Amino acid sequence: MSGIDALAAAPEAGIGGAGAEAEDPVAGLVDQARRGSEAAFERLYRLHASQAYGLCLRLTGDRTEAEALTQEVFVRMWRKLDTYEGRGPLGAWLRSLAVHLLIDNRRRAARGPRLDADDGAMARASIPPRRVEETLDLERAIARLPRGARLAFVLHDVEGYRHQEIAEQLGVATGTVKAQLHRARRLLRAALAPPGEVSAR
Amino acid sequence: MNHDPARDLLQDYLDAALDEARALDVEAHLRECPACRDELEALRALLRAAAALPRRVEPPRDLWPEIAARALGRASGAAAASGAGSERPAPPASALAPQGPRGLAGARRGAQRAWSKWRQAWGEWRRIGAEWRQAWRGLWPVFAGTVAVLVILLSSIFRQQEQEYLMAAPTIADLLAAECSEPERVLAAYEVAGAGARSDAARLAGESPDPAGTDGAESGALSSVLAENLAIIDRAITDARRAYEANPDSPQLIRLLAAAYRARAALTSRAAETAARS
Amino acid sequence: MARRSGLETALAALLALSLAAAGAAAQQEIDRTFPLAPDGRFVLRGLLAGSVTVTGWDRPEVHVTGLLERMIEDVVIDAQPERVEIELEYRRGKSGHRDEDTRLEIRLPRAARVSIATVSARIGASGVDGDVNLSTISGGIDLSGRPKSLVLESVSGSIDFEGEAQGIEIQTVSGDIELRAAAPALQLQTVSGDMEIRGGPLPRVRCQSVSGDIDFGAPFAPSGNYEFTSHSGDVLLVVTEGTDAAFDLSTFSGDIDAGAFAKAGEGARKTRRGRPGMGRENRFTLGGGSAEVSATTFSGDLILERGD
Repeated sequence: MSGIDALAAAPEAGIGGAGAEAEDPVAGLVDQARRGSEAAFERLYRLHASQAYGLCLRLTGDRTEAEALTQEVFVRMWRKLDTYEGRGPLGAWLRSLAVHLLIDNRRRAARGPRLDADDGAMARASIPPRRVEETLDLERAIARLPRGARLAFVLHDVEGYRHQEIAEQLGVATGTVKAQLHRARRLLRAALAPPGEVSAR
Repeated sequence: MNHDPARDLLQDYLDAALDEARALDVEAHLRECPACRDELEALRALLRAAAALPRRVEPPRDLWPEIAARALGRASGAAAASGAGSERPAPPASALAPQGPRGLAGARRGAQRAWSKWRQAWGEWRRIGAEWRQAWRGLWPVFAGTVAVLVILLSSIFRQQEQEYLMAAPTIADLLAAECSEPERVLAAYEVAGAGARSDAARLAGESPDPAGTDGAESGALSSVLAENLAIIDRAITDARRAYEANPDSPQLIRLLAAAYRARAALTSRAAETAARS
Repeated sequence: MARRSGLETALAALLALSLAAAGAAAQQEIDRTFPLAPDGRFVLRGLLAGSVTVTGWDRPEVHVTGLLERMIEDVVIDAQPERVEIELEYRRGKSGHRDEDTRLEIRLPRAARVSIATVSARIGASGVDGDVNLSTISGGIDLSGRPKSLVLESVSGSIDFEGEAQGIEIQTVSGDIELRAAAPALQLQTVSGDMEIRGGPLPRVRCQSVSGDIDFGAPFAPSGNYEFTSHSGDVLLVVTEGTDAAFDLSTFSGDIDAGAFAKAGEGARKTRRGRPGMGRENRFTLGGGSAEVSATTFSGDLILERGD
């Protein structure tokens, strides 16, 4: 923290405010941002931007959408900072904002297929047929997964959330999350396997 | 275990989601089936690769200017031109944002100003807190009965099945504001009802017994959702109350404060219900 | 069927016994049918996880089918001609690894009154015309049709309804609410869930939120009465061509973005400092102003958007 910030933040300690920000600079920034400090807001953005963008990119599979979603996440963070309880790192909270916004946006855009729709088409691979000589790398393969499968896979196998947490985040049953996760893995296996090997079941 | 069922279970096996008996069955099959072994290994490799993906990806361009524009309102020059002027009123002075001349002297002055502002605010808070405590003590015996009625009324509202009430009645705040010439007394009663209910709810939410002993995770998740939302509501009550005290004649602030109290009553009665249900 | 519940309880006990005997050998299936008067009551209690789907039909019968997870030890059924009540009881202790879910499918007389409470099981219902009362903690609720009265409650599960009812009341803590509905009276309440309302006609609406956003996009009915209250959530109102309503928007510290409406409406005043207390307010009338729309927030924004 720069000298000026540290000086300005010090008086808080007496009030039982963010006295701990020596240990946790983010908590101090969060408090300042809550009080309207735009500088703190920007710092929080700088600290978390690549984490957020990385997640958004994988969740949406599209660079333009990822940029838009990342922006929404931080705008929302600014507006809803008073609902961040401080339990758990800010990054985790931002991640859940991102997932939430993503689901919300879909709903606003169109009443399209719901995340937990039990479409019989599930079994058919939605990844476009590969040309024999092309090998998709993992990132591109994830980007091409159908939405529900992609969300489950990214949140579980990349980000490390558990079924239950994901189910709560997405507002679906744990069974749905598991089904989508398994589907994602099968599709990815099929997409990444060298030609002639495993086929998607 | 036969090949097909084992193959179906490979993913669960990988996720350690099988009970011991099943897991052993799968392992037995794996010992004698190279195809499944390969499949398992391929899945493992996939998961390893997924977990190794870089979590941080630098955005291709700096997104901050657009974020700032949307979150912080248009720059003041543009606001005048936009007519509707939806410029955010400055939040209460950010005493901590460095102001004035830079340099150590300026910083110290800034810090001193910030410090005295905080001391003032703190004194203010303590006074308000003392006033409320006094008021509460005075009102409690008078409103014990009213409180009970209000709590029952509130919780019954939300379980109301008959739609006549819904269609005919104004909101509670309207009712109370209209019928009660002293809204502050009624709101104080809310506060009393809330204070008691809140500690009950916290206790209930904290010790809500595991419904079937199966999902500590689930009742833990429930407690944290309830606690989190109770905190959101309490913050709203604090904000609204502070504003209301500064402007006791504002019907909208009464409405906001009453709405926040209603939300708390609803949450605490829901918490009690779910604890009772298990 | 027997009039006395004693017989049914005995039968239920038999059922329970047979389930216990089946033990851990295989996931338990259920397939039972009970008579129920066309406007009888159906109650399902105690379902923890999984899903239950209810469909109305024209037979005076309740048909329960599906799979029960192994942790369900007992299915207690109390069947009377006017009322069928099912309660699930679970084994205590750790389930170990849950690799199966309970799935119940229930068909019942379409005019029956339905009451279901779950913990995390999803509830789906369609084609039910009676009073519907669904409650969950973290399961989702997904409903369509024309129930008589609708009372839905959730803690964190999300709620989705498409259809009509004679009265709708929905309450969540953090679950989102999505409606595409018509009803003479609508009351929605949440703490931190978001709500989105479309459809109509909805002549009388009360939406309250603490930090969740409210997005209301049904037309404002003539002589309708609309009240939106939020603390820090935003309130977004979609205003269509030909709207005939008086708007009263106020916020303590949020923004008001009433855009073109504020200029075009009669009696419009540009966004400005409000009456004592409220930081911003905007009151204006469109058309004849027969509907009354009032939106108040503490720090959430108030936004009016053009709709079609």
